[in-house]
Amino acid sequence: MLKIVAFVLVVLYLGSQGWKSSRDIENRAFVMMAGIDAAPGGNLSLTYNIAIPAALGAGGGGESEGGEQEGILRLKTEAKSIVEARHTMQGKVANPIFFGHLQAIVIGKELAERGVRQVLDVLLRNADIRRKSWFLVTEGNPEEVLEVKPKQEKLPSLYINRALEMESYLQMFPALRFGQFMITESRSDQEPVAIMVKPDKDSITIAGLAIFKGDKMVGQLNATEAHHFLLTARGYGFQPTLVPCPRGEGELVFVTTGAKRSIRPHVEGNKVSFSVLVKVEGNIMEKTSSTSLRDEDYLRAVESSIASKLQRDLRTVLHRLQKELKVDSYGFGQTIRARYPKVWKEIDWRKEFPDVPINIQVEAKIRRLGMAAN
Amino acid sequence: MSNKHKQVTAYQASAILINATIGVGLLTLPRQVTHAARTGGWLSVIVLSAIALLALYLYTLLGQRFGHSTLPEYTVKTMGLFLGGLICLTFASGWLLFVAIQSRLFAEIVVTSVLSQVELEVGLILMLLLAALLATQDVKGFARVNQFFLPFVVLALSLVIALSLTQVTFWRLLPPFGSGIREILSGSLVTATAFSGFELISLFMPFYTNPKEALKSHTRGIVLVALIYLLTVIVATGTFGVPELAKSQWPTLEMVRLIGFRGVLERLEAPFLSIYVIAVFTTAGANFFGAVLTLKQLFKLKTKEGWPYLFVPPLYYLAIRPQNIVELENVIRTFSIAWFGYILLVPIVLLLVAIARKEEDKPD
Repeated sequence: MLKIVAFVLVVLYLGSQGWKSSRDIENRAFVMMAGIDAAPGGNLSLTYNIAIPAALGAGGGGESEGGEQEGILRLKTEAKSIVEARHTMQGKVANPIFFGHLQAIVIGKELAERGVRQVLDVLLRNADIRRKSWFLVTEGNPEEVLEVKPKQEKLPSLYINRALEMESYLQMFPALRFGQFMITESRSDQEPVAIMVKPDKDSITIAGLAIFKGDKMVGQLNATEAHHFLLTARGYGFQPTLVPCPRGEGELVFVTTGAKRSIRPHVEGNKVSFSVLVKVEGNIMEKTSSTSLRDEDYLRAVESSIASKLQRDLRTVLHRLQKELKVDSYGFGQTIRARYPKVWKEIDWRKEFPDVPINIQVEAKIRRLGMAAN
Repeated sequence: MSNKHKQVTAYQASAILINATIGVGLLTLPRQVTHAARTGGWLSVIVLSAIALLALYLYTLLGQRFGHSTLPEYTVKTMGLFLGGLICLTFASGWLLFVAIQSRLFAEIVVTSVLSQVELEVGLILMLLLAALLATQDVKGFARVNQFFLPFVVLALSLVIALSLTQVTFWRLLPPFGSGIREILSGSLVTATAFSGFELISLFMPFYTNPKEALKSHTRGIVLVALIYLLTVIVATGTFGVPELAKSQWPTLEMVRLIGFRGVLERLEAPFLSIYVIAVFTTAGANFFGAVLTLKQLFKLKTKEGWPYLFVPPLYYLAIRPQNIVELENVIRTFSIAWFGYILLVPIVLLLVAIARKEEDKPD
């Protein structure tokens, strides 16, 4: 009997040690957004948006008198390393900093160009951080993104999260989260891209894509180019296409509703080439010409002018990525690695890619004309 | 001459086998196997599953030949007291070492990923004590514990695999054969850590209510284990890709962390680990149980109350020895490959000697 009691007591005592890690929700400092940028002298400048649950519950929202947002504590510091910066900031808040609800990590362009390996490493090592946080690059100072005062949500981080999720829901922009970035960064057959955002006073917009080579940003695509890139790379990223009427004056707007693409690698010896076929389909949703669309021949003509317009755009972006920036953000290397592992071993893809012939063909199909009959 | 009650059902036998095999090794499996075999990792798992199935078949044959004896008993019968005793002592110490390894690894995972303020020692001692508690139960109690816990472990793992399927990118699984046969075979060697444990079943065979069904329930068990391992490796490779797997300490846990849909059901690592603690507990417990039963029968001890707890301090000392996870993994790699060779070799030798000496248990 005594033995059993002793055993139970020991187990209970040890088990209760687990409470050391327990922490009530209101006693945690939730970092909702983190901005990281390069600072002079090889330093990093970090900004955290920390949520104050008590102030958020009090209702109201919006701005207080000091210009500070209610419910958010913004901390800023500079340090050589991210962990040191976190340590400094921990000294300023009353509760332990917790990254479990981190919605977005915003990287300044300067740091992105210097390389983000250090940032990725910290994010991978930390057990709190989720791979589902957004990984964003901004042209200017990341602080400006953190300071956005959205009208639709109380916290900028939640607003950014919802806005970006909406883009992916409408298939306008894929959900390029930090986990995805990290996975592509570690591969040799594809280079990572990250969403670029542009802050405004009360909103953010997607400004395009940051193109990385390894962990270093080497260039950027604007929003239109980004959509064209995504259409080739993922069969995704829909946006309206404006084409002039093939007959007569006026213009038509074609809205893509679906896209399929196939990448065919051709290998001869160690020479690699690709033919890419992108098939888009969609609806005509706006027309300023008086020519009726109820004519099959005319629709064919419209389809082919949509296709040639898109083909031109897709090829322009390819040229920019392949010849100017020289990075395989598309992931063409994947098909070679997967289907021709022997060839893959022989070639240095990063060197080879700029000179590989790639031919993009586009086919367009009009499916619907909306509710109109002309 | 049998003093053994027929009390372990076919389902319980499968449960013991599955629970004893699936342990902490599954959490590192995708990284280790793809590190060696690249995208051919899934083939490594199949190769080792086939070997394990074969070995399991040998143990089942032995168990059916010696219908009233457990592994230590028939080892001594066939090999004589000295050599047989030596084999049994090796088994017992190997199993005890596995208890230490499983407990340390699991404590390490918990401390790193969820309970950062808790000392490693706490998790370690708790696991050792609980394993010792399970080891001092009788066969019936042990079988029932396994029967009860099996659905939790299998359901949790199936759920993780099913929910992770959406993350798989097909390209990352290609080329299907990885870099070559040699790499696939060396990948199987690493898988050995995750697969040992099935041999413990040889201690329970004389207690089966229906020994004729032994092979069926054993096969069922190991196939389920192999299936879980195979799917985990495939899903993890398709989700992360080989280079990213190499960067993750516990890729299976990382997979759990990725689960979530529009903010629902996120951050599942803590609930997952709290279920997975069962898988580790049953593995450590089964190994401890095996060692205790072997020593009891070898030294003809009347009871197994009390004295097994004496193993806890030395096991704790062993488990705490490796300074960090790197050293720990190196120790485990060397040990588990040697150990897998041992548990493969022993039934072959025993079976051959038993046939040569015409040793077997007469049916009642």
